[in-house]
Amino acid sequence: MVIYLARRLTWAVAVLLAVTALTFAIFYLLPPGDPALRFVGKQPTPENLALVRHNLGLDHPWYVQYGKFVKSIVVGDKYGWPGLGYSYDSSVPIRDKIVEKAPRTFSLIVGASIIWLSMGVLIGVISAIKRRTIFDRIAMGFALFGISAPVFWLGLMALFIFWYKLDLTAGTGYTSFTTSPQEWASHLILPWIVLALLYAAIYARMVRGNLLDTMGEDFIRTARAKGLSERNVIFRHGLRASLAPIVTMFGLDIALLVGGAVITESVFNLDGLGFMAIDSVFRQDLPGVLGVVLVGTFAVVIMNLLVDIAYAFLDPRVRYA
Amino acid sequence: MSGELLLDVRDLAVQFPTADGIVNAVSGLSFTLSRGETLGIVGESGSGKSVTNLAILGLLNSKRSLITGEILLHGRDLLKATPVELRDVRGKDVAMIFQDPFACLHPMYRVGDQIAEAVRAHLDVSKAKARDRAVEVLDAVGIPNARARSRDYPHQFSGGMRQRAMIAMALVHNPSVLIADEPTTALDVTVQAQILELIDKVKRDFDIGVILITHDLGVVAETAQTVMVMYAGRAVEHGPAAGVFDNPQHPYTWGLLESMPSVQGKVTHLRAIEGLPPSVIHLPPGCPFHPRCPHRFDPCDKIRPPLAAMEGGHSDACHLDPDAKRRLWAEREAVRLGLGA
Amino acid sequence: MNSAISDPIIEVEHLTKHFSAASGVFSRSAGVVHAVEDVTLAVRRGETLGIVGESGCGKSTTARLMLKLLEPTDGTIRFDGRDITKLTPRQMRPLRREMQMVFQDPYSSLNPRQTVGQIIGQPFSIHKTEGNTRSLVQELMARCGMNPEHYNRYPHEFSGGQRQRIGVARALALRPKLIVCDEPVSALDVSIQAQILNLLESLQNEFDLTYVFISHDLSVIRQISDRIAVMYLGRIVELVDSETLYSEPRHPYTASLLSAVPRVNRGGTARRERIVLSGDVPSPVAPPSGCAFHPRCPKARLMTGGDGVPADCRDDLPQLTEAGNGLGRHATACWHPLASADELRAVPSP
Repeated sequence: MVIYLARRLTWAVAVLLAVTALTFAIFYLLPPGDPALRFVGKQPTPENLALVRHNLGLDHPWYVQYGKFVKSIVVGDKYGWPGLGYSYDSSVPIRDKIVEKAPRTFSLIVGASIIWLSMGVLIGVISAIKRRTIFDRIAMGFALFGISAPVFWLGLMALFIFWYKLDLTAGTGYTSFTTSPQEWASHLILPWIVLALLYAAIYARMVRGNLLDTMGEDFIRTARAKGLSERNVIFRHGLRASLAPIVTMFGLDIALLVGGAVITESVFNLDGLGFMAIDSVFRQDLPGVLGVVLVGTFAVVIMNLLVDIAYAFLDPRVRYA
Repeated sequence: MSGELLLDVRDLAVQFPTADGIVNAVSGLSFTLSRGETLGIVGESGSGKSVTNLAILGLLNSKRSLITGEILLHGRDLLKATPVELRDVRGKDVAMIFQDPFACLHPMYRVGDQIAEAVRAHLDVSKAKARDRAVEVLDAVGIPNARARSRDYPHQFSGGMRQRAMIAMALVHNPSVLIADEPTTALDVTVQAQILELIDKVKRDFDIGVILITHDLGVVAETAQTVMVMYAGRAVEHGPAAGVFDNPQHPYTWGLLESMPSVQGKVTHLRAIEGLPPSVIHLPPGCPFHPRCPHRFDPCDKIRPPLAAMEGGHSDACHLDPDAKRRLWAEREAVRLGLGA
Repeated sequence: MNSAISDPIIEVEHLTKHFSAASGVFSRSAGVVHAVEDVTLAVRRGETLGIVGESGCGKSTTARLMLKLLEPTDGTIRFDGRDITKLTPRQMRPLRREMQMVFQDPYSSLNPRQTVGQIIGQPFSIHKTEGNTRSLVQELMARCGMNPEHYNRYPHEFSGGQRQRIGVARALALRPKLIVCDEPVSALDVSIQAQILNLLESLQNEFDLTYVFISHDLSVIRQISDRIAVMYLGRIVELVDSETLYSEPRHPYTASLLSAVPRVNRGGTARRERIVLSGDVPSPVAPPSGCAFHPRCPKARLMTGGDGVPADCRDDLPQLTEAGNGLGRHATACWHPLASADELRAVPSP
């Protein structure tokens, strides 16, 4: 088990290095425009530019810059550990920016994921049991809607109806949990539901499909032959066997939302990591981009590992093969 | 063999409506099972043998099947029972084991826990007591180190052991009837012998009745007291095993016996039954076997032969009269053994 | 080299195949599956060699090695006098006309998206045969008991037995010398089984074919084989003509196997004495020491009175040796082969 973990973690580091190197290279080789220009202010004289460039370390070739970047992550820089430098744009240390924005993204993800998992599984199970009845058709119709409706439209509609017209929630923006839990929840309830709707729809379909397949298996027939109640058969035997792929998907979906929930964060003005990512790209703020990329990749790698371990616990065949 | 009548099936018919037409899976089936008796039900695919068992246990989807007739267990008609009453019978009074023990056990739960679950389905006992009972039955079916093995997962058991575990699970509530649906088909020959011995031992020790469904005539010949041969959802021959194998009456039975190769000797002429198994949607008129029967004559394609009994409780469904049958069978045997035309 | 057979069509010597076993998520070492171990066999032209054994004995793997559908870990394979062991797939191609296979599962061995005509006709196009493919195919279909007008139908429109006929027709297309049949009737109903066996036998005479027939079913093997090899855990334990195998088996495993087969005892209903082996077939990842059969061997138990096994059975691997009885070759891999069929009657079940 230890060796397995060590192997996975080594891979994780390799992935992180590869992803950040690639980001670095893209930044260097692709975009037009010069970050130094933006930084320099209203007097872009060649001397100032050269000075700014030197300060930002932009006068070295990209691999040297990358080397310095990796070094400061491992060792830390003047702003603390990990050393992510400071924004080309605002001179704010990246680390502080991330620390400030991460809780917003995490709040969004945690709430939404709980909602979409419970909704998705519940609807999926009921649909499977009541296959081809009116409930099933409505549920699958809802799923189609959820998958097709664009998030920004849903978000804006939700805001319009529930905030603007009915004044039920706090609207856009974010209040931290420590400041006021009610405000925090009130701000987040709409983004939670909007984000969850899409995933709930996908999960409902998946659960329905998997459960229907599983219910045709021989061990379900055995369970019935033993005299178990139908509810027991469906939940203890059917659902348990069909959950494994859901778990895998769930882990990955969560991971990808770290720095990926751009539209939701924008519409609801949550100013989380996703928004930071887009913003940094538009401002050509390489350290900002790298910071989010690092956090996002790390999240994916960790979730991957956790999901694999969870899978092994769920399915003993994988464990002992 | 205490002989008490356990199961009395009368005129059972099962139909499934499908997009292509009504499937008559089983028609006009009647048989009994007593304590200490092994009834072998023989048939090929499409004969209706598996559907019969599922009907007895009420495992057929009631919305998609039409079942008529009577299934009397200890005198009580199971077809008139409510789902709750049926669930009370399943696993407790009538237990069933299936063909592929690997697919029949839940892959994610320990074997002992699955058996304990069977215990607690009908008895209100603690988990610990249920697990003890699981270990007890696992031991009774010959699994070594039963307590340790009960904590294993199904994929850690070999095929033979899994089938033993299934048998153990079937026995937890001391059922009166054990239905074994092709229990040895998926197993190796040497393991097959072990499992058949175990089923027989269980029958004697617990004094129960066993229904053994198979396509293997050898298995039936060696383990069953009574045999019922099914074709296209009907019984075409039914009687004591000795009678059916020494003195088979129905041309389909003849065909089966002759088309089987044997370890006892190479057959000079392996006689195959011509044609294909019948479609259960479009059954031919008259006798369902007549298109493939080399002895068909005038009434065979018009009138369906009823199951008629001769002496000794041996009945068959064929228009040929007993003398004709005796003669034809003797001729066929002579050809088979190479003793001249 | 089996010198009893001159000019064999195919022979293998010390054929061995090891697979590495998959390991679980957390475990480290992978075991080695000894699928086939030191198999030496020769097949006479025109005969049917049956290979019989239970699951995991290596019979299917041996068949695939013979046709080089798998690469051997060790040993040599000679087809028609030529050493084909080290040939590349490209070099093997022209030889494939002469050696074909019929598979077990009629439901998965045919491409569901091709018509029958395309399936049977494919060998012709691969090997660029002369002549009208369609008429050649229809001729084959008729010969194999199918209606030639079904040329354009798809596999799912046929029953299991008919699909197996398609498989046979396909194997026969290029008039091979050798056809390996891997459990071709195991998935079929009894009445259809007989049809396919009869078909195979009649084709053998007409087309001068040699068969290697794999099965776990001893009665089927008896019906169709001239000589039989019994395999256990990757090794051949007995090799002899079929009559002798069934009347005078020498290896205790063969005797137990025969005894375990349920049979329709015509005339007399006395319960037969059966030798029931204890335990299950051991895993090919960790075969027992010495003779692989020793933990279950009824003869070994008989010899020691139920207390352990003889030392040579436990420690030394028996080789396949010929037991000359003057009348023919009867090879057994056993330190204490049976002298008579009744020897094991007295063994009580464990």
